[in-house]
Amino acid sequence: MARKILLVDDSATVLMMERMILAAERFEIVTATDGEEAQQRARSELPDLILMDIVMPRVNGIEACQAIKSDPATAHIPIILVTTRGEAAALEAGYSSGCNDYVTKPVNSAELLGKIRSILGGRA
Amino acid sequence: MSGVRGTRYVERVREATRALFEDLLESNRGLGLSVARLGQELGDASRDDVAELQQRSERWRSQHESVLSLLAAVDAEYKRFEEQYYDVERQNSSLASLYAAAQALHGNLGGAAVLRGIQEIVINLIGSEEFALVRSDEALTPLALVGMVRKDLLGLSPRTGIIGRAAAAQRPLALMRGMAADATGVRACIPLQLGEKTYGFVLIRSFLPQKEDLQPLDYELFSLVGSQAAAALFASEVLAREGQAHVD
Repeated sequence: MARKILLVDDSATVLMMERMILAAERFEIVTATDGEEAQQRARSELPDLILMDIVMPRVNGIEACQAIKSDPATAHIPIILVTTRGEAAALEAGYSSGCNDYVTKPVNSAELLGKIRSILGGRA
Repeated sequence: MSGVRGTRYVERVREATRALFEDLLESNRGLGLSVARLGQELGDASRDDVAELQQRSERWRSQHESVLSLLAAVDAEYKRFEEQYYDVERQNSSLASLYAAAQALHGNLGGAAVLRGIQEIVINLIGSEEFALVRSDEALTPLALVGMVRKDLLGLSPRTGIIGRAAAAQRPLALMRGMAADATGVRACIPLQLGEKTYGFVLIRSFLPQKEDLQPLDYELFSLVGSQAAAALFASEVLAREGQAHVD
């Protein structure tokens, strides 16, 4: 059974690129375009992993990550944040929100797939 | 005991002793021969065993070397497959980026959507937050400005520095990491070509701090934006004029 990944980004270009990279690895992909929709999709889809951009309208990635990790129904879902800035302060904010890992833009597919495989283990 | 019987008794004892002695000597000789024969047999057997063991050892050493050689070949093949796998993964990722970029440019005919598409490519796929999209007129009139450098990129001339060189060459130019920028402060200039005409430029002031040096995919993206963005922008302007004409 294919592992399900929720992609969250307000950029259609990024969603398309990430979808193509991950679909090639036979993951099942669902998407959301902001943090609020991400919370709803996390509850309804219960994905195996969430890959979420930080800078988004309405509810940003940090806030959405905190909300998803605070919800008992979704707290177990690993979250990888996608950050534009790789500085320590930005990463600290990400980890404080409860994320499991992060990748920086522009997304390096090898790095991203490596982190996803690492989190999902042999089940990926 | 009489003297005669005593003498006979002594002679019998002496005879028996001699016979016993001779038997012992004979046995001793026999044992000696046996020991010698056994020693010889054992010696020959040991030499044969050693020779056979040496042969076996040589065969095992040879097999061991063959196995090691085979393992090295398998390891090299494994590494080759691994490199090929990562190469395919990189190519897949590059194609995904290029496809997404082309879709961003041509997926919508609205001018704002095309400009947003260009911005998404530069921010998310190339990796820059400090750039500007400008026309190729003398004032480099902004089409869109992003990030903290809007003031820095205003007032530049399309004939100076890297912008002038890129315009003359009608192809993207970029500085490798560590190379100092010229007076324009621009690190990458992408002329937006519509055939021979330069429609505008993407001026990149800096790349994201975590971005390492420019990769082949970056040049592919520069080239795609340079050759496709102007056509998309031009088409959106034509469509807007047509729409306006119909309204008028």
